[in-house]
Order: sequence, then C-alpha cells, then structure tokens
Amino acid sequence: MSINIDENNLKKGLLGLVVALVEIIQDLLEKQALLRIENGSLSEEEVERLGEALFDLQEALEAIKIDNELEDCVYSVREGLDKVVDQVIDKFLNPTRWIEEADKNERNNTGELPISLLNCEHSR
Amino acid sequence: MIPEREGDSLVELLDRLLNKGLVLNADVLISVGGIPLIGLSLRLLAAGIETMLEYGLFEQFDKDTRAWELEHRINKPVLMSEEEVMLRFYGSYSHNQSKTWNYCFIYLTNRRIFGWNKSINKILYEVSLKNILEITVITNIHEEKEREEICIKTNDDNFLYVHSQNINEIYCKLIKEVHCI
Repeated sequence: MSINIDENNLKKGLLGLVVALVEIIQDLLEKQALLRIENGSLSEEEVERLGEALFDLQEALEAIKIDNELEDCVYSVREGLDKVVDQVIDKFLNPTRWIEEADKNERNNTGELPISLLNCEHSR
Repeated sequence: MIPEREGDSLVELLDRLLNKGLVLNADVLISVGGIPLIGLSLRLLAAGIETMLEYGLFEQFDKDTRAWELEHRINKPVLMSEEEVMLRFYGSYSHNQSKTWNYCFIYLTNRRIFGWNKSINKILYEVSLKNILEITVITNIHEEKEREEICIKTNDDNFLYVHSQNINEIYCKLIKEVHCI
C-alpha cells in the first residue's frame, strides 16, 4: 500500500489527504444517519436538522475541493484506499489464493518474500 | 450458485463494522529496564448508535443529548428588525490584502452582508450595505489559477473580497440590494 504525496506540492497533497479522510467520515455519517432515519427513532424536526447539517457539510467540502483543485488528489487517495480494502477482503474470502500466491513467490524466488498471511502460518 | 463480490470500498467496510459493532480489549504495560511502571487497561467499543441502542447502551446519553439540542440549538443568525435574508451561500472571504481566506456561510440580507459561524453562533465579519462605496468583479490569481472574486470597497477605505461558486448571481443580488437602499 502506498499513498503518494507529491513532495513539490506538499500543501496540496496533505490537504488532499485530510479532505479524503473527512469525506470518508462524511460518507460513513450519512450511512449511519440514513439508518437512524429508517429505524424511525428520530422526530421530524431532528431529521430535517440532520439533513440540513449533512448537506451544509457536503457543500463546504465541495467548495474547498474546487477552490484548492483537490478533486484529482482526493479521488486518487480514496481509490487507493478502496483498492487496498478490496485486496485484503479478497484474500480473507479466498484462502486458496494464499497458496497460489505463495507458490508464485517460490517460483519467482526473488529473495524478497512479501509478507502474506500464509508465511506467518509457516513460521509458527 | 456462487456468491459474487463487487469491488469493496473502505466506506462499506467501516459501515459494516459499525453496524455489527467492534469490541477491543487491550492490556498495555510500559516498563523501563524490565521494571513495569505504568499499566493501561483499554476497552474500546465502537458501533453505530442504532447498534448501541439495540444492546441497551448509550440510551440515556442519546436521549439527553437530543433533548438538550432541541432546547438550545441555534439554526439561524440573529437578525435586526425588518431584516430579511436574501441569499445564503458557502464561500470564502478575505479582508483588505491579507492572504488568508476564511470559509463560512455568507448571508446577504436587505441591510448587510455577513459571515456567520453556526457552531459558535458568531458573526465573523459584517458590512452594512449603506457603507458600501463600490462593488466590482475582479480577476485574481489564487493557487496559480485565475478566478473571479467580488471586491467590495467600503467608505472607511477597507476592502472585502468574497469568493464562491456562482459569483455572478451573488454579484447581481448584491448590486440590487445596494441600489434598494
């Protein structure tokens, strides 16, 4: 996993990373908000307030993103994180892949074995 | 049938974790030279409030917070008598020639233009419309890119710069309100 931050533009890279994390939290909050609304535990006024606040947050984030030209940066950080999650889950769901990967590594014999869950099992 | 899996995202993973709930127990011992000095016994419980309520946790907390907010919540800035909000938008402003741009919700009323921070219920700056001498749309360089900003000159020789997404609409409304006075 690697998150590349352009060292020539540290400010933009760092801001992009922060905005990406805030966006992830925002998405998460939206999902949880929807769950609360669907379960009917909130009053009408509370639902309205919640919706308004989340909308304001989204508007603010969009404005900051556009003003600082962070769209590409945020997009790449988020996609990178999603890919990592996807790979990890894929490995957990398909244990056979571990063996395939281990075999491949042995054949390649690059001397530098990437740490995988299978290797951990062997060393015990 | 073989179960299929689409590409997972981080948000979905976290959402699932919150819906199920996460319990973490950890004992930490900090020692120097083999002598234990500080002990930490950590217990972490993370879940969405709906899940928490299901297990009977945070019930009182949830109730109290909502009751308090219902009473004390401030959703709108305090306006003067006969003042009416004409436009509300999210944008940034800058005083005189300072380089810093502050982001907030900006309100245009029939009396003044002001920036308001909701969480601390404070008017960050305000300019009375009758103190405005001149309004122009200028092109400025921001983050190595040209963009349009509204430049407001007041009668005490101060400048206020405002930027937002739909600058022309704001400019037209602002001109209209100033002419009304």
